[in-house]
Amino acid sequence: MSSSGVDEWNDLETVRAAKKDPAAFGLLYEHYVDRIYNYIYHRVGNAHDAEDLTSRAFFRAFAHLDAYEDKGYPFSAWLYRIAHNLVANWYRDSKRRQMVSLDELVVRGDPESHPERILSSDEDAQLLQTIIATLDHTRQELLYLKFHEGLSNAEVGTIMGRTEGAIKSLYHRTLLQLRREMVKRGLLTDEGE
Amino acid sequence: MGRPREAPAIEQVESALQGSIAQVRPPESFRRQLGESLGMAAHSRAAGLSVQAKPRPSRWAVFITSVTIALSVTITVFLVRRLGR
Repeated sequence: MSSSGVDEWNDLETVRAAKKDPAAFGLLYEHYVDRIYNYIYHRVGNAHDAEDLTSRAFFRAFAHLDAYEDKGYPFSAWLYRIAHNLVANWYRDSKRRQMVSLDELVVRGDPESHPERILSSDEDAQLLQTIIATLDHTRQELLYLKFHEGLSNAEVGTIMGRTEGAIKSLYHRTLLQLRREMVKRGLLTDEGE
Repeated sequence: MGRPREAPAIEQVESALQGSIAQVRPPESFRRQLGESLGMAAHSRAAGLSVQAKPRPSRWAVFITSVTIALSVTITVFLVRRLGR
């Protein structure tokens, strides 16, 4: 799986190439594996399941690549949608409805197989992560896609299977909820309200 | 009338959230292995090979086969009895 030959990344061209030549799927894999793994890891909270679901996501994408059509959303949204569905099934199957605390992610698992983590030493950031971990998993996913991936409401809606308006509304409510918690824990003053 | 007053409050939260979500990377061994597995799958597909689920017999085929066998047995038994008289 070579990753050479593409100077400037172009989703559509690469997808088109991968449809003609399956070996070109390697370019898509190399480009997206870190992001998809990161997304799944934050949702399931352990390296073992993150690896399993990441593998399944890419094999499913590989198997169904011909079904992908450009409908105005980036290829990444299609890929995240596959990962989102796999994680949703994982929650359903294992009855693990609660998101794992982000603090737990640091200490859990075998250090040898643990993904490399870039830790922030900032105490406020740690406290903020603790607050985010108390949100339900839908809101955590929303924040992840907005702030880590920088996706638009429409793209997040495509991934989460909701309308753009519903995402906008959920985003607003989530930020207000976060703000209340941040004020309560002294991360923000309530001057803005 | 809440929205205009909420705006700066929300901006504060958005600003705090920027870069707050930790970045993780998959272990290199996993990354490499999965890449190789996908490469093999791509190679198989390019060679015209594909892994398919074993086709299951249709319900109709099972039903028709069962009826045919039952009828054959009944007719055979009937003929044997008539010939035996």
